[in-house]
Amino acid sequence: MRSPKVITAVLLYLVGLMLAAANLWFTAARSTIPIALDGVISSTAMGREKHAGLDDVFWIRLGSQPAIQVDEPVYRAVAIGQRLEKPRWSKQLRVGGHTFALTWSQDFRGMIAAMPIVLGIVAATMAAATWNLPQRPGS
Amino acid sequence: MIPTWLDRRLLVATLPALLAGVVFKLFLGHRHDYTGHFLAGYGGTLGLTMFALRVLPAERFGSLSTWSLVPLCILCIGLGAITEATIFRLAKFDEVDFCNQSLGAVLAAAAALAYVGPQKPPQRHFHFGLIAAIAFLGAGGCFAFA
Repeated sequence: MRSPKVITAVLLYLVGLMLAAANLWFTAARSTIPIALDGVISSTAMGREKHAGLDDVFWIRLGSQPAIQVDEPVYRAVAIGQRLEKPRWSKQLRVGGHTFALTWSQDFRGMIAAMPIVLGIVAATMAAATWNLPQRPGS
Repeated sequence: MIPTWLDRRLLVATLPALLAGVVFKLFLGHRHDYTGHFLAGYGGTLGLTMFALRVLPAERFGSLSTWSLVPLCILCIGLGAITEATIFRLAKFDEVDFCNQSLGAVLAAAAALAYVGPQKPPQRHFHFGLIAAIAFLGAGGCFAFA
């Protein structure tokens, strides 16, 4: 019965790997560093989550494109009617005639450290759970 | 002398999740809700898994228990997506909250590997696992909304 456990563990680990990668992508994308921007801001918006001031959500919309979620410093640095330009992976955001320096958020820096450790814990848990130890009577 | 209720299964069902919770607090402590979603996803999935394994007939346990873990995990991830999109949707469906609670679900299914196999463990193991699950779910709720 070892093989089904190994197959199950591999499938679960792949799901965990995708979720950890998604965590990194979503928190990175909100800085706008990994994405290209080119357009005029048509609207901005802020939404309240569970803890006002801590987990607020910020959006900007370029022209008629779908709104994108951004970190608060990006939201604060731009205004409706301004043109935004930047290539992918650039940390320089052109806002109108000025340049705004982009930085990775605390969320992303936390995820970069936490996700590999959490994946390590998942792997160690699988190893401990599938390890065949002699059983105690009644176990 | 180790008490009889403290066996390897219960240790696997509690210690890694506690450690992962500490990692979340350590590196993402500015967002209690991330820790909360992770622990709630863990507790909810562990609880459902313990219940499902508990009611599985002993004669079919060997053939079904291991293969049930991935579908149960996917089911819990789906239920988490529905709750995040409905009752917990405030400003938006938060993708990071969803990923964190789903990572908790994956860790719970990984821990449940200690409970499956050819022989069905005594019922008390599932009961202790369920109690641990409720504790993690409660802790997750506290972190998410505190």
